[in-house]
Amino acid sequence: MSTMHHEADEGTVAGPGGSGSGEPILRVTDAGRKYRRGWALRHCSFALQPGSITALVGPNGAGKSTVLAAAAGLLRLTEGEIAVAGQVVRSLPAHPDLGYLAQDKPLYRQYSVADTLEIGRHLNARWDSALAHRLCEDAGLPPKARVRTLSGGQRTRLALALVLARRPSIVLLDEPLADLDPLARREVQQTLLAETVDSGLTVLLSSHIVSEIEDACDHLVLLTGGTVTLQGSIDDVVDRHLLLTGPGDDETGLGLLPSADIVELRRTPRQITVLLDGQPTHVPQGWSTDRPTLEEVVIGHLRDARSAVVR
Amino acid sequence: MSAPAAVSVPERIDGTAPRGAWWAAFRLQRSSLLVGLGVLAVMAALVLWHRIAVLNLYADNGIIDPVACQAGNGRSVTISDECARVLGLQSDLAGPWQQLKTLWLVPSIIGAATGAALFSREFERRSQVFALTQSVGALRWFATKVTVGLVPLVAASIGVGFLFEWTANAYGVASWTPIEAPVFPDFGFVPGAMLLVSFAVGVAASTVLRQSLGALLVSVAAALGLLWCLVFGYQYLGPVERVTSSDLSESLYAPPPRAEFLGTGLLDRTGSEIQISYDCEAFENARGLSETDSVLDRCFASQGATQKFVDYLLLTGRAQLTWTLSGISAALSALFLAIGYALLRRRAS
Repeated sequence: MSTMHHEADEGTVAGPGGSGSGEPILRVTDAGRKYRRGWALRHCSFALQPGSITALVGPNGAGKSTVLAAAAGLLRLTEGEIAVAGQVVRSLPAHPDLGYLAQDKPLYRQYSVADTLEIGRHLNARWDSALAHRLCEDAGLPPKARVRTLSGGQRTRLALALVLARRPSIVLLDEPLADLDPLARREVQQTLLAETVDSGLTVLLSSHIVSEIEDACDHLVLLTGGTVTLQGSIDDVVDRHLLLTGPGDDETGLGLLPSADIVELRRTPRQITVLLDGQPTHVPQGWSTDRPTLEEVVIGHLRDARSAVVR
Repeated sequence: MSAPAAVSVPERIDGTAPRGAWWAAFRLQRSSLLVGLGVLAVMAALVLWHRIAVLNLYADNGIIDPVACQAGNGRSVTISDECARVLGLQSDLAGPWQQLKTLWLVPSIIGAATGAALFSREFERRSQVFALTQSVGALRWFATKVTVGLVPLVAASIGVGFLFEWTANAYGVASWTPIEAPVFPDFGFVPGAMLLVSFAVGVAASTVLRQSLGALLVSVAAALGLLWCLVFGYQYLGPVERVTSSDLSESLYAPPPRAEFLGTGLLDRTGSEIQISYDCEAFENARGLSETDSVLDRCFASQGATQKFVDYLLLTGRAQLTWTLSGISAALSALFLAIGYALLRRRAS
C-alpha cells in the first residue's frame, strides 16, 4: 500500500482558470505548528488560485483549524509561512482581503442582529452594508432578534454575512456547515457559490464530512496528521483513482496490481475491493472497474494514512 | 509578485474603522460603564449631601467662619467659645463622615470589576476571535477597549476625589487634612490612581484566567491588597519632616497644623533610632508630673538616648506625594496592561 506518497511539496490547487499558473491568493509553505503535546501541523504545503472553492478535509485533529487560524493571523507558526495575496502573514490584523469564520461562529450573543452588523461596520474600513443586510434578509434574520436567540443555522448565516460584508478576496471558513440542517446547508452553499460567481471570491472551507462539501467545492486538500496527503480539483482527484473489484480468493489477480498505487484494500470472503491511485497497465481477468466516489477516495486515503501511522 | 485577481468591490462601502472602533468599544462596554459611573454618581451625591448638611449645621448655629478655628486646633492654646461650639458640632457629624470616608474602597472595586470583565467575557464566549479578525489590529482594539472602559471611570473618580476634599474643607479645621490616614485615598487624584491600577490588575486577571468570576475575585482581592499597602505605606512616598528635641520626655506629639503625624522615638548620639526600656527603678517612686519627666529623662539618657524626634508629613509635601503615587500607579498599570495585551495576543485563537 502507498505510504504518504501523495504528499506534495507545494502543490497548487488550481482555480477555475484551470492551470494554476497564476499567483496564488493563498500559499501555505512547509507550515508547522507545535504545541506542548506535539505537532498539530507539519510540513503542510498547498496553494489556492483565485476563484476556487476548496474543501480542506481531514479527520478531527488533522490540523485544519490550525492552518486556518494561522492564515488569519490568530496564531503563529512554529515553522514555515503562509502568504495571503503575496503578503506573508505575520500578525494581526489579518490581511484586509481575508475573511475568517471560526468553527464556533463567535459573536456577541447579547446584542441584536442589527447591533451586530453595526459593530461589524465600525470595526472594518471596508464594509458593504447593503450586502450584509441583504444576506441577513435572505436568511430571514429579524434585525431586532438577539444573537443568543438565533438557531445554529441562523448564527452561521449571520456570521457569514459579517465575513462577506468585509468584501474579502478570500474567505476561510472553519467547519461552517457542521451544525446546519440540510436546508440551511444548501442555502449557505448557494450563498458561497453566488459570491464566488458574482465577485470572484476564493473560498477555503474545512470539513470532516465529505458528503457536505462534494456539491459545494471544486477543489480538495486532504489533511491527515497535520500534513497534506492529497490535493487537486475534485474531478481530477476522483478521475485518477480506480476502484477494482475481484473474486475473494484471487490472490494472483491482486498480485498483478501495482502495490505502490494501492490506496486501500478491503477483503470479504466473496470479494476483494482495491482503491488504486492511478490506472493499472493490466486489469486482471474476472475483475471489474468502477469510478470511485469522492467519499470512497477520501476515506481510502484517510485509512491509508492511519494505517501508515500504525505501521 | 503579481497581484491576484481582485474581488469586485461595490462603490458603496461604508465601513468606519479604525475610527469606528471607538463606537464599537463603547457599545460593547456601555452597560458596565454606566453601572460604574452610576455607583460613582451615588457616591458623589452622598458626599455632596454631607457637605450641605455640615454647612447647614454651622449656619443654623450662627457660625459664620469655621475656618477661623483652624489655627487653634491641635495645640495647647485657649480657643474661643465659637470654636469650641464648632468642635462640638463636628462630633455630631463625625459618625456619618466616618462612614463616608470608607468609600475609598469603591473606586478600586469598580476598577477591578470593570477591568476583570473587559476580556474574560470575550474569552468565555470566544468573541475575541470575531473582534481580532476584523480590520482593527489587536493592539488598537486592546487600547481602544481599555481607553473607553478606563478614562470615564478614572475621570469620574478624580471628580469624586476632589468633591471629597471640598467637603472635608467645609469642616474648616485641621483634623480634615487630605494627607491624613486612612482618608488619603479618598482625596484628589488618589481615587483615580487607585482605580487605574485596579482596572489594570483586572485586565491582566481577565486574560490570565479567561473566566469572569475567577478574574473578578482575583482582581478585587489584588486591588484591596494594593489599597491596604497604600493606606499603611503612602506616607513614605512623600517628604517626611523631622523635628528633634533634647528634652527627651517632652510631649512633642503635635506636628504643625494640617500635617500628618507619622511617629516619634528616641535617637542616640549618632542619630540612630534606639529602642528604650521603661524599666527604671526611680520611675516608680516619682511624684508629680515634673518629677516623672525628669526621671524619664534620666532613664532614657542612661540607655543612650540624646534626642527625641517626631516625624510628620507636611501638607506642602502633598504634591510630591501625589506625583510619586501617580508615577507608581502608572508604572504598575502599564505593567499589568502589557501582560493583558501579551496574553490577549497569545491566546487570540
